[in-house]
Amino acid sequence: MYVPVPTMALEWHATDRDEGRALTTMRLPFAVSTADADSVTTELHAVMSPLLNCVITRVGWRWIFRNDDTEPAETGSNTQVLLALFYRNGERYDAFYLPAPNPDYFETTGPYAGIRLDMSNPTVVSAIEALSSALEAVVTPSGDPFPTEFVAGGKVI
Amino acid sequence: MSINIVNKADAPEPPYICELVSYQPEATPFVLYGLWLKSQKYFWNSPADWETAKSLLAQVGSELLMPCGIDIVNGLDRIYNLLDVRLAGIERTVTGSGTSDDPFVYDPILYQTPEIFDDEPISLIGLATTGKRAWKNLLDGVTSPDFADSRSFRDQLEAIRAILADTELDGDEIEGILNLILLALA
Repeated sequence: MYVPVPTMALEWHATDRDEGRALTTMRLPFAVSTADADSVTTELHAVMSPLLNCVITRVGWRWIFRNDDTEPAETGSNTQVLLALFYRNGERYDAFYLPAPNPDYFETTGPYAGIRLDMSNPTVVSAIEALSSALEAVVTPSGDPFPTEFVAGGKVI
Repeated sequence: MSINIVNKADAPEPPYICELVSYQPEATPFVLYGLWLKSQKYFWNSPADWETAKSLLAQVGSELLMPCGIDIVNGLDRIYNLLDVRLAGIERTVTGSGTSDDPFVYDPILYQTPEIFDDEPISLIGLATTGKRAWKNLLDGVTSPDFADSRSFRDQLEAIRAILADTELDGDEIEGILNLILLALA
């Protein structure tokens, strides 16, 4: 199966007076730095704007990575089940949601069987530690660091 | 009846109060869905409200997965056991990890009604009982396993007085003997 080369796309969305919409895309290498992407975006925006008889309403960046050559599990459902991972940093809480969690990684006994992430499972513990480590560099839209103290994970239906 | 599900709201600001409630864990996935839904930005009046609400709702969601009921029960059992050892002198062993799957198991069990064993020396009641026996032995010569000498304090003083009366010691010598007795008693 064809797998597209991963790319980073700069996108300009434009609207004319008749609500006609257009999209202009510039593709850059997947590994481009955000500083370079920002520079190219700003320069091209300045060049394009005087040439247009419409309004640029939205500018977006997308890093596009596709993996079409694997088969999803038959029992998985992105639209019906989520895994909520709750994090805390002092008084601030946040949640990270993943689609279609593997049912093997939920508790199997007790009142939270099939509901709560099984923290006695080594695979789960490793994944949570790695995820928490990765989230240390993440900043929320308000500029606050993303909380990295994992609290609990559970199924969302 | 209908409800506007995208009605915007101000987020409640901290500090928050905390209450213990009865809750059915089976409902957790559905409640988490509701919390996730309400965590979307279009339900809140401002970005600041959204940030505050997201944190609050995430806190609630995480706490639904971290019930404290069993911790409270375990804490109460520990207090019961501690008091039982100190008041009644009943020592227990405990096994388990304190989870709902592997609860703490006390041996002997935690009794529904108190059992008092007043001769257990490690209990407060046992210590008080021992002290009472000591006083009764000292004052009245009542014997018990710990205090087998039936001579009371009065009896022993009378014996000393009788010995001194039978001797031909002078006053200074008697005073010297009395001082030795006082030193021994001290």
